[in-house]
Amino acid sequence: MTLTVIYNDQALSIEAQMVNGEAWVNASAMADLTGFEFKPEGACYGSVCIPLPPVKGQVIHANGALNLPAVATRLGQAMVADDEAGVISLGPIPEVRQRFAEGQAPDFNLQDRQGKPVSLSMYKDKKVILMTWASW
Amino acid sequence: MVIGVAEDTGGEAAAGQFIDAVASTYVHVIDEAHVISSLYNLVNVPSTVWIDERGQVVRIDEGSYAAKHALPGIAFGRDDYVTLVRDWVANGADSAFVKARSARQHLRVQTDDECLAEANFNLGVYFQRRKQRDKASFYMQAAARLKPDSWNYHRQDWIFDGEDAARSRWQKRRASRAEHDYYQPIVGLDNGKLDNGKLDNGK
Repeated sequence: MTLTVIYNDQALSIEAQMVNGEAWVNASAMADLTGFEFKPEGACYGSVCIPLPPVKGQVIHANGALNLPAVATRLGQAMVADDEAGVISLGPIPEVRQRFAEGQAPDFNLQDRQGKPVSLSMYKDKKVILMTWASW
Repeated sequence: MVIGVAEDTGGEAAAGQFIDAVASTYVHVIDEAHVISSLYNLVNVPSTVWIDERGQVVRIDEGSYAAKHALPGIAFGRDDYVTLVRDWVANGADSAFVKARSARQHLRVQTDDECLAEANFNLGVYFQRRKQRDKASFYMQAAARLKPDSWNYHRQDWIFDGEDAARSRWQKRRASRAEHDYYQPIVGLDNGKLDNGKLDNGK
């Protein structure tokens, strides 16, 4: 089956296998979506790795696949699923929140109206003002 | 560098005309999933974040209007915020407006409920993009319940009752809660006076 996984403003279709009611997904697809790398030592974000030990004796990360809900729980990511539509939405990664708490401006990848990428890291060494507004 | 960020799940159709109208020279993004408000935990618009050359947040979370607005029955906005920004551009870390306010104190890190709210909101955006309005509104309302302080979530959900409804509900709500205005006093304008471009905050 195919599952749609949402993180930030991206929605990715990922091949998934249901095992005992839990979705197992391809680890490298999840890495592309979330920025985490899934290594033998765990889920790594930059230099920080979070181990992914078995849960209740059950392996949650093996052979390039992840038990999605178990890994999200281990990483501290909130998760909301619309089972009818086969969509799972993941909340923010605590490591990103932690860096923000220390004053570091989180990077983002958005696009201007012509589709050109706009990210904070493009303006390194410059002062940046982010100015939110809305039509509503 | 100024980056204008439209927090509009309606995308180009909702926000594009306003960007055309201002004919500005700075960069604009239309942020359908409210990514910037999520990452910086901003709960209303307009809101501004100042980020220095080292990537550190130096000012955040202010009602940074660019102009005064008068609509029937309600007046809001201000036109003096730009003086603070100009001072920072000229003086950097020495700007009184950076020194006077510890951004660290004003950074609000999301609670667990607020993280769950974000996951719900993003699911709502997903369904709005697919024109499944009932599901979109369902998840946006869940987000608003989990993060009741976020006007972004309430107001974005209200568009399902029409744009005029969204505006009038907000104005009514804002007027009825005037004594607890959401926005914090702006250091250097409301809290401390500008004197010849220098901040005198009474200390």
